[in-house]
Amino acid sequence: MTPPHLPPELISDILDTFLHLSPSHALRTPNLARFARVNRTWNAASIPLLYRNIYLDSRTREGVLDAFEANPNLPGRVRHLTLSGGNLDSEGFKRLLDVLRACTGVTHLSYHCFDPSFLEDLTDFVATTWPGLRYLRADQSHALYSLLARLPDLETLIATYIEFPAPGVPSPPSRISTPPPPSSGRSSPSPSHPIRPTFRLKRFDSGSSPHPSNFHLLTSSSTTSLTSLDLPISSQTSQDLEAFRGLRRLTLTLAERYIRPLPAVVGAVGMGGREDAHCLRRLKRLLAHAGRSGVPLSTLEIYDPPYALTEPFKPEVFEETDVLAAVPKGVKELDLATLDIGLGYIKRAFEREGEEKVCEGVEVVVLSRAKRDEEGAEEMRSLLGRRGVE
Amino acid sequence: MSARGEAEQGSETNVTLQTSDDEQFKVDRDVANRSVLIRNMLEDVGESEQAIPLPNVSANVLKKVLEWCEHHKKDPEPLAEDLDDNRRKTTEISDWDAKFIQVDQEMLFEIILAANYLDIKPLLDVGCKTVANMIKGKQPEEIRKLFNIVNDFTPEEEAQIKKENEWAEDR
Repeated sequence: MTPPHLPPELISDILDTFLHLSPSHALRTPNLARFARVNRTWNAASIPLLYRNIYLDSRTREGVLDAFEANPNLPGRVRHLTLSGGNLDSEGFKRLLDVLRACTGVTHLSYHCFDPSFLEDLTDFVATTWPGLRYLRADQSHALYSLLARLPDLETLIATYIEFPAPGVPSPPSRISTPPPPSSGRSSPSPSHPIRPTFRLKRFDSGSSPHPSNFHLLTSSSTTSLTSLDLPISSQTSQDLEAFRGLRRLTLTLAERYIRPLPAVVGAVGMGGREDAHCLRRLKRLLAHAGRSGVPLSTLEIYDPPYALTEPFKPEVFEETDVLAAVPKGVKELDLATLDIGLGYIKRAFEREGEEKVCEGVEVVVLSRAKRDEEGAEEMRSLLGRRGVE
Repeated sequence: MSARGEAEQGSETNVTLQTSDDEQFKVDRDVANRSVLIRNMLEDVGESEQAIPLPNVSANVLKKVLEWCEHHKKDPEPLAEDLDDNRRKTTEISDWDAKFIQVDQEMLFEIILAANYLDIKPLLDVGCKTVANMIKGKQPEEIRKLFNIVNDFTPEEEAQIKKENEWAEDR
């Protein structure tokens, strides 16, 4: 029995489906490379998929750059690019940029592990080569801010730390819409005062806590477009979200975990030591403001970073500050999976009626798996069930 | 679109389909409506006693396809805008579909061709997922055998492609 021939469009459908079934990039690439060797039809269907999403690390870097140099049809196919700067010397860095210049279609860029001495040139290269970038994930602090001002189409920004230009310098009222041409291969000097970016972000993960005025500067162009925000919150900085009229998804990271506790003697209020309760009160205030001013939040996550080396927030502190009382009415999904929050507290909070009622709109509460067997889990579940909460 | 309303109205009526090998199948209209091609034809011609010719589908394949349509006749119609998204999200083949698609490879490919011709997206998707799982990890020669295709590269071309993409295979 011989199976019938499938036309090229069905081969493409099958390979598309293959991609959706294999979310891991590492699994996809060797398969796609083998599919490309089957015959011409398969080659035509798999090469665009193979080169659409490219990950350049120390292992694949040479091979991919060689391929780009050998076949000028390939670089233009790249849309999503991830760059790792591991084991890269200055000659290698120069070659990297030279070859990547031909990748004119990149819309999504992530980079990490670059030697600090390369970063200024890298950011200038990025702004010059891909001014239309829509997605940026950058593991860089220095020179990043000036890059952002040169990416007017950016929609998603994920940054671990953004170093802001010196505060106190007024930003010019004029907006810069076209990037300044690079004077040479070297980077142009970064502007001495902060320029307000013109992008309209939809998603922003800010990493470290920006100073409120910096945060405002960075996001002021995105107040109506932003739908997803990941923001650190601590006793030392707080933000105001009132302006974000489209914000639906909010993650508040308890950045208090990164503040070193002061020695007990000095541990007075306002002295800069770690103060979990203060942090949570700020968080409550932020949520209360957002609720009152009509920010349409529907998903709220309070995130206690598990990778921080410090002690997690204690269950008591959530109850003492009554965090749940501040959850805005519109929130449907409440994600507390990383919190060590008392189930008894959740139960008591959800029991309240009338004026005191909390989390009115909540339909789903996500808790850590470890909580499943904790004391009081049954009671809490049955209570939430009565209120129609999963 | 009024397709949905009409489908409900006409669910009592039968539709006759005629295969490439001149067999006729009488089916409920809502079963036939799973095929966008047939649905559009029915909307075009309106109520008719005439058999709808399906010159690209043979009886044994249509029988199998109709079995799928019968089982899925009550499935909600996906909205046009999230059709693509839905397809992407539901990566799992349902148990019934997985059993249904356990056929020999010739029939599997025939079902895919028929689903494509008749425009039955969810069935095409089941077929594509099944094949996608079959080709995972296979060498080019094994895929050629599976798909009954020949290597149409010149040796030089093949060597060049292999060299160019070595970075991806080499791990």
